[in-house]
Amino acid sequence: MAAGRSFISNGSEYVPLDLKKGELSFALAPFNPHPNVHTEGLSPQEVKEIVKGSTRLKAMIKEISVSNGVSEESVVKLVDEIVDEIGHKMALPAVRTVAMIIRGTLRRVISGIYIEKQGLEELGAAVKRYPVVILPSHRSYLDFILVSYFLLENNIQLPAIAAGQDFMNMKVISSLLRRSGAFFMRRTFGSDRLYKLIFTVYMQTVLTNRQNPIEFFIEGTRSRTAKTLHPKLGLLSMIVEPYLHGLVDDVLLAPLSISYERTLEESLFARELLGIPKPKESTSGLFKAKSLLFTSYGSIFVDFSKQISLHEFCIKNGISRIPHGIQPRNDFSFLPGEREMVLELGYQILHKINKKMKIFPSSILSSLLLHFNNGGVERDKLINWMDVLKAEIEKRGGIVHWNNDNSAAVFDHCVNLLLSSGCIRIKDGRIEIAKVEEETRLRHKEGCTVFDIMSAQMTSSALANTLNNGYTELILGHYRNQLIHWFISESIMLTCINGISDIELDVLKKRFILLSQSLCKEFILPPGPMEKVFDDTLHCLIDRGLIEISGSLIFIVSNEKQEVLSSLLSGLIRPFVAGVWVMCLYLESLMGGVQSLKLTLRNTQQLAAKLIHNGFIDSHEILSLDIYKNTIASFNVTGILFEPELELEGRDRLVKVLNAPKLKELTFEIGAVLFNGSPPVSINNFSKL
Amino acid sequence: MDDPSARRLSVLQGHLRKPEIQLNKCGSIEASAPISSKKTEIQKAFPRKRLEILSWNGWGYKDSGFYLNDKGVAFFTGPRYPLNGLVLPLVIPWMEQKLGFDRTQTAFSQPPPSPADLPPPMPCPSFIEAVRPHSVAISTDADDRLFHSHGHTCHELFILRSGKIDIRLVDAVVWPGCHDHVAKIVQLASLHNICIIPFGGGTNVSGALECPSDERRPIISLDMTEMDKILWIDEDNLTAHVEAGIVGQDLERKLAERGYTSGHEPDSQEFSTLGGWVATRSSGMKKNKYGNIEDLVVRIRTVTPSGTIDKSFLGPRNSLGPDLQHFILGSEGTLGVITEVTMRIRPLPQVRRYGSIVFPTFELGVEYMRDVAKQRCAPASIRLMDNLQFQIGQILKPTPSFTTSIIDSIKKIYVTKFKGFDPDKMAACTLLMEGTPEEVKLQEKRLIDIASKYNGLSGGEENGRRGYMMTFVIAYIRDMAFDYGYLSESFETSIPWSRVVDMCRNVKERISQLCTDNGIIRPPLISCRVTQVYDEGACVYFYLAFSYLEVGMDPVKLFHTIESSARDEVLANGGSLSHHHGVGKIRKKWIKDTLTPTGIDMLYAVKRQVDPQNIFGCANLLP
Ligand SMILES: Cc1cc2nc3c(=O)[nH]c(=O)nc-3n(C[C@H](O)[C@H](O)[C@H](O)COP(=O)(O)OP(=O)(O)OC[C@H]3O[C@@H](n4cnc5c(N)ncnc54)[C@H](O)[C@@H]3O)c2cc1C
Repeated sequence: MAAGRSFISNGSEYVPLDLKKGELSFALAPFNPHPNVHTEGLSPQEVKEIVKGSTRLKAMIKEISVSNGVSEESVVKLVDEIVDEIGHKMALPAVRTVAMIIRGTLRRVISGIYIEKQGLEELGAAVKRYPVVILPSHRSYLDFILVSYFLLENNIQLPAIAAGQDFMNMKVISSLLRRSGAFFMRRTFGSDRLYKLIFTVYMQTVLTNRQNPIEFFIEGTRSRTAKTLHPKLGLLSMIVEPYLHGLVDDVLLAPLSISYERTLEESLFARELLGIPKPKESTSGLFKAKSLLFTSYGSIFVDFSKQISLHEFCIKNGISRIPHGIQPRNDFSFLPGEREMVLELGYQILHKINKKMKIFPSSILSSLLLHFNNGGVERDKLINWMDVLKAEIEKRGGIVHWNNDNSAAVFDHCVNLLLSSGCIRIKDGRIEIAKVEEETRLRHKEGCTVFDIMSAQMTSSALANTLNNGYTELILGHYRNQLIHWFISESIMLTCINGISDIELDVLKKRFILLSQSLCKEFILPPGPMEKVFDDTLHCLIDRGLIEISGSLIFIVSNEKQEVLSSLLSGLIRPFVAGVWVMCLYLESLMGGVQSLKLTLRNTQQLAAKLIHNGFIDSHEILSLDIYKNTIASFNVTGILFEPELELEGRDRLVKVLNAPKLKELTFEIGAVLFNGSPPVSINNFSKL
Repeated sequence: MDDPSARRLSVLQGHLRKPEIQLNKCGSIEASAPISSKKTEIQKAFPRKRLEILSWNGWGYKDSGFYLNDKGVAFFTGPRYPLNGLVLPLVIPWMEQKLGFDRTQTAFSQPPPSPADLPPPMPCPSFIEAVRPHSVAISTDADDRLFHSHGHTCHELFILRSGKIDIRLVDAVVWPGCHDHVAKIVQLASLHNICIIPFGGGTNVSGALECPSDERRPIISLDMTEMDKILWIDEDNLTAHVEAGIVGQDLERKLAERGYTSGHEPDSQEFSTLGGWVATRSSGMKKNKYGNIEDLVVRIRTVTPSGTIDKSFLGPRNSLGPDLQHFILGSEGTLGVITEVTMRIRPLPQVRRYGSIVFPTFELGVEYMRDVAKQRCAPASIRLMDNLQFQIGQILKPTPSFTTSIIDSIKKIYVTKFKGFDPDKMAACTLLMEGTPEEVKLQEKRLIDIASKYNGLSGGEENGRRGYMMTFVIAYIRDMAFDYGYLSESFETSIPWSRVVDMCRNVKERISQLCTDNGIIRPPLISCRVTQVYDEGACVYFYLAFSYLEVGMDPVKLFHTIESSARDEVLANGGSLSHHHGVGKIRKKWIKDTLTPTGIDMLYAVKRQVDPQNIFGCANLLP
């Protein structure tokens, strides 16, 4: 790679991608990567033919033709169509074209793309010998092409990329992506056995052919919140199967952390989370001002983790391939323990991705601004706290990218970034969160019930204003979220203690477990039984000097700096905890009825808006529909809710409270945690039980 | 020979001579007299004092082996082999290039230990005295004891060569002369509580002859090779009754004199014995035509501590519950001594013809083998070598132009078709066909026709013949490899067809990764071939060699690590624990998982019943 100078950052060497190189020399650069030593070098078309001719598929074609009473030819025709719908048509010129478009755009808006050198070399070595699966984090559409782009630049075999079907509706883009190596997957194929088999065989043929590494996103979709999502296991299982059946001796899984200093889709995501598809006319000015061409999006870093050998991972988890030796190879089913292993593997991959994600100073600044969200903060205080939080992240193993030795310079750099995203403003020398609209907020009354609030009127313009004001906070939240995983269980525990002078160990434990369970889909919590996580967290906080234990009582250490730090750390997740509370309130108001999921989300958001409007809660982040989706999912796990999914396939899913006493307890406990023991809104009127 | 009455006569003569032969001190019938009396000069494969002509620390005859001459060129010497004096100028350059061979780095064997260096025998004078009248010979000489205390696994030979021979040795060697001798000896052993380990050719590669280090009783090696007579031949039914100590080459020579062959031809045939074959469930190269050992035996006589196991009829098949002979086949010396075997014999074939076929890739070769198996038209032997072995085949010859000859000759014949053959990818199949000239011709045509479906081209007879000729000398290569710091071993498995290709690749990958992980610097040699075809699967044979010189670890330990992981990989890929080498001691740890604990309990139950004192205490097979 004829690129700019490499540099060392946080102990790793990075090589910049040469965005400045002339178009012609880019287009003409030779690309002749070393093929995998075991590949038969099949063309994309040949791969498809192998898929169509596979014994597994042939057997299913026969079966379907018999059971559905249709001719084999008609099933074969369907198969051909599906294979074409899935298959990639990778061709170098297309990859170059896409890469050139990307370069052209990025060149103007970002300051650089930096690739960690050693990891890149290891990846290059691996694809020469093993079947490799590249597993990037997924924060932006750009991820789709970024990997191909830097592999192209470094003369490493290009990946076949599993892409979601949503692209398929965009004709031009999908055809371009297909020719750049994307293969397409329908969003759901649960009950379509034929489709599922074809996709599986296709993916496995690409894997075992070893012509190209495979790339897919373990999180399944772009993380709109920039929090790491829980792993999707479908594709991962498809990768594991050929190993268990001995089609390959190993698969190397390469977790890739792509860190964007600023996410290109930040505003898009914020709107999506709020569920406001198009910006309102009144706010469009704001969005326009942020037009890509004139803003700075900082830099992009690509970091590699040590590859995971599937073989070693299976051995460590006590999974043997031997039992599969007595199954015919065209008939695969998971044996006991194997699904759990895949799940574990999924989390392991995410853990590795997370560890290498860069924490940018803008994440730290965003966290501080959201926390000290009251009428602006002075520059010095922010710089000071930025240093503190940086140190705390580093203590926990996080990699913080300070692009300058001078913290003040770093601060100025990220203030500029945040200014250009429009989510902060400087007023009288103080930095504050930008408001899209001036909204009038009422002072909350004492002794309200949920019912009072829900029935209170809120004009549609007031509602719109409140929602729009969620926008800037959600963008800042997007950046804050990128560092939460370093603190998550500490934050949960501090949340349970905060504001209370002391707390009994038993009570703390109970609250910690309740809250953790309620957030289990919102965040990826440390693995292992809750009791153990509790003990570990407790000791960790004691060791860090944030809490003290005396007898069976726990205190927050009373030293000013530590106290602020504690509240800062618990503040990281406060909007999510508040979200859980709002959800609880809303579910209480349902009084055992059944409601569609969509409506539940909408109504909960409205309730949230009213709570904000009436001055009960400050954070606008609770307007995010995502919080409620996750909370419902968590409640499904803990048994508070259940979704009778199967009964209503195809239609909107339903929500129904299953365990009312547990919901009540949770509402009470979370309310207590959030509002120092006295929640301002009660549910009493509704307690029929 | 074709006159049935003449054949009957010869059988009859055998019976008529009975009274004379009863003078034999064994008191058993000896029918070899009428056979061998025709040619009195017949020699045995080796004398009772084996070390007079056999190597003490390696394969085969001590006057045979591969060496480097003073110019650093490899050559083979071995007066008993047609390849004697063969100079191989291509071998060393090839090994230097591919394996990082360095002839200045040597690890020659230590000299044979003096008797004083070896642990003294555990005395058992009363037993010895009691046995003396029932044996041809008894020895407590150090060299005999050492020779009878090992087989041919890599680590056993490495220990011999290292000079640090701290293994448990047998305490005496006894040579019985007949079935009754054996019966008496076993009886006496029970009486004196002595451990017996039967010994045939000593060629096993499973640690089967290693003495258990915790055996407190005296251990007697029962050397079976004095029991080497063909007791009778029944030409009407094409069977022969043979003493179990007969060595393969002697058996074949004696049968050939009468116009017959057993058809059992393991690569170790020059030194391994009939009893050893039965005890290990061995497999011969020509099993497609003649069957594996279990297909060849009709009746087995076995002396156990609780009596003799035998049967009272020679009918070809029966339905009498589980076949008890299958407890003996593969018993690996744990239940008793196989003394006599009635086996099938076949008339010698009129024609023996070789052939070879080359394929663009190993994968296509496997598809071909699979098809041949499906059509059930496999010749006596059909073997598919991977690219590495194909290359080695090309360098094991005196011509100075490496890989060119076969390729050139094929190129000449098939100018246009030869495109697509990459010398670094192609694989070769060797064929051995036996039968009448017409049969062989037809068979060859059919085999070559099928090959064309898989882009296979005939590589001519000569290449096939050379492949099979090399078979017997290849075993000597390991000793030279030892001399230059390489450890090498072969291992085998049987596996369903659909898994063959993937298993071969996966095992090679795993081993080469393991070698790297264990600090082996020079590239290892890992190669395989498909040596047998069956309806549902194949036998695959691997060769592994690597240099341990640069590795800090104890070589034996290093070797175990790699061998054991290689076996894990074979099993993980759906391969069996063994196709024909047996379990012995080195594969014991996997047997329980392979056969289920209940299955193993069945074997234990038989063992306990038949040998409650554990006289046959070699500790093979059972975990
Ligand atoms: C170079 C080489 C090539 C080989 N090729 C083949 C091959 O092609 N096919 C194949 O099947 N094997 C092969 N082998 C393995 C070996 O030759 C066989 O296992 C053979 O059957 C062993 O016979 P043996 O007489 O040498 O037995 P030994 O090694 O002496 O003994 C093997 C086991 O059998 C027991 N035993 C021996 N004789 C008797 C008896 N009379 N009664 C009871 N127990 C007895 C012993 O106690 C011991 O446990 C090869 C080995 C080498 C080194």
